[in-house]
Amino acid sequence: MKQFVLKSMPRTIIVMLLSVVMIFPLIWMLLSALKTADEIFAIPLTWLPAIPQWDNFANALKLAPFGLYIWNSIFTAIIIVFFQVLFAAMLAYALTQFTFKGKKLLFQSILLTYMLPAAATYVPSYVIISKMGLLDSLAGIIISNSISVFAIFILRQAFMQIPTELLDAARSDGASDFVILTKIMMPMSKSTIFTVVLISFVQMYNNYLWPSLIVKSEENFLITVGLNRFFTTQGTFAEQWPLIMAANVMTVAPLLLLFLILQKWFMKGISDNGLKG
Amino acid sequence: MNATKIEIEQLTKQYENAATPVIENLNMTIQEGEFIVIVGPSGCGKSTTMRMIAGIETITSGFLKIDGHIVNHLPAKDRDIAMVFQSYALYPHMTVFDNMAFGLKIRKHKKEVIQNKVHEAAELLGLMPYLKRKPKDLSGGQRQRVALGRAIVRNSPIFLMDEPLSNLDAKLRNQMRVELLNLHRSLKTTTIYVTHDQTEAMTMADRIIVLKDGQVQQIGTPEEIYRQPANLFVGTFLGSPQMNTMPITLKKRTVYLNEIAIAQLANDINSGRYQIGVRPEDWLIVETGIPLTITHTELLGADLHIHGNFEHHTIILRCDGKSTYTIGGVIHIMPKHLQLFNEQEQNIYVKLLGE
Repeated sequence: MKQFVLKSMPRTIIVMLLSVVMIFPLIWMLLSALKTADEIFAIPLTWLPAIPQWDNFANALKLAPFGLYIWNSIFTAIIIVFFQVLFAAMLAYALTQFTFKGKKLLFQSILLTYMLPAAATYVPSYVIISKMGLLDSLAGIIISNSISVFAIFILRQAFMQIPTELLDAARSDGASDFVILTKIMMPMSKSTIFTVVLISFVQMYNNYLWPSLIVKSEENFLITVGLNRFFTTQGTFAEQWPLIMAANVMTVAPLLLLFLILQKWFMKGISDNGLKG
Repeated sequence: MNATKIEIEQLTKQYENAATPVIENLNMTIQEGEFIVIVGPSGCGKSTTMRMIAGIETITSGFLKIDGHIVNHLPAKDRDIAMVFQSYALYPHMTVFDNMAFGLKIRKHKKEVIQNKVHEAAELLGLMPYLKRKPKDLSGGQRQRVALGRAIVRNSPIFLMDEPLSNLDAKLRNQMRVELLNLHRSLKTTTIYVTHDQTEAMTMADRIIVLKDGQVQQIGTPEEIYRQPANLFVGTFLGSPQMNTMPITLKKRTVYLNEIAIAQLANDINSGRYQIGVRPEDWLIVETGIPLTITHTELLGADLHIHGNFEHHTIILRCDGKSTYTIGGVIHIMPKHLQLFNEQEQNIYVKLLGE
């Protein structure tokens, strides 16, 4: 036992150091959100604010509608994830249950699009969105993100784990394809779907570059875009830095909350890639 | 209750990349309320046949008629056939009640009707205390019952069972076999049952279908199959211990085994070389006959199985469990009944003199 502890000591120390490096910016952000501008730029560094400046949050909200931004982000992310799972489930069903010409080719081409760097698709996607008249709208963001190759792939893997006899049984019980998908396959792949939902949600909430290309007017800003705008407009003034930090905290808060509540599921999603059925 | 006639005409199943069909030109008519058992070695196409009837496997050619209507292209969900699978195929995320109610819910039956039917079936199968459990919390026998229950509540005119008892232990299997038979007697549903277990086939079937390599070998009652096997394969496939087979020569109605005359035929058959098949219980122990050196005996309670050698032939005979024989000793035996198979291994159906 003692030997084991000794052996794992260096590893433990390294992991702890890395964790501190990872979490330091977050802690610094939280503390800075409560400091005055002088305290933020003070040398030597001050750790704790002399008086916590709770007003920073209210002042930040006065300068930009962060509530609206966050709402936009959460709203679009939820709708996007809903469609991603819906479409992925239907496609994965077809890929696992139907036999048709070119099935393999279809799946391979789906995977191929996953290999393409996202930036390479921006221009054509932009043109399509613009022709659809969806530039500068949340619908544009939703529609352009509603298919996820990652979700298709993971759900296909999960569906392949379901024994064929079970589906045959459902068919002879009189179940249609739709019933089999919604009443048998999706409930049986619950944990996988949940993992996909979480990962996709976080991804969409954090999505910046593509939405920033599409939306122009402030009422459609996602939090990522809004925050960047806030930073570029206010960041030149040192006295506004506490407000920027406060805005950051507000941005991160929903995700932190989600993570705290669903920690177990995040871990699961990372450790088994959601491949378990 | 409701039962249905199934007619199968020239049914063939061929997979795209396979050289030979899995099932070739299968013909049979299954009467209303009949209990049909399909037996055969693994890979003979028995499960495929069943799956074609269920509609979860496509039919390459031929016709499948249910109550006179061709249903080749009717999807499984519209055939109203209840199937019990070897793995039970219970829905793991549903309770026992929901598993059994699934088919009824899909058909949009009223809640009370579903409740009544499920409770009725659960009562019959002794599942009432387990209705709220998930399949993973049940024993093998209970799962098997749920699978049966799921089929029963549907009230379908046709039951298909694909080796439903093969995952149970021997004792439970015997018990479930009797329960299945009682169930069939009370429901009178047309049933097709696939198995490779010959005891199940012999004891349960109204008629047995013996399949080999996708070809029907024989269709008949268990007694016909056992007493008058159409060919050597059927003769050796059913019966335990196996039928003894050996090459013989026939000269003027007399059967010679290595120069020993062992039987006189009552029928006039051309002289020549044949194979005979003798069931272990069809040997008589006599004063002079085939001298058999006993190599091994097995006492099974009521029966004693004697294994012995005569030249290079191994022979098994069954006699009364009370008799004793010493290993190494010699007894003389003669067949009192035998099957005669020609070069094509077909049975010529002969009788012995005095039989």
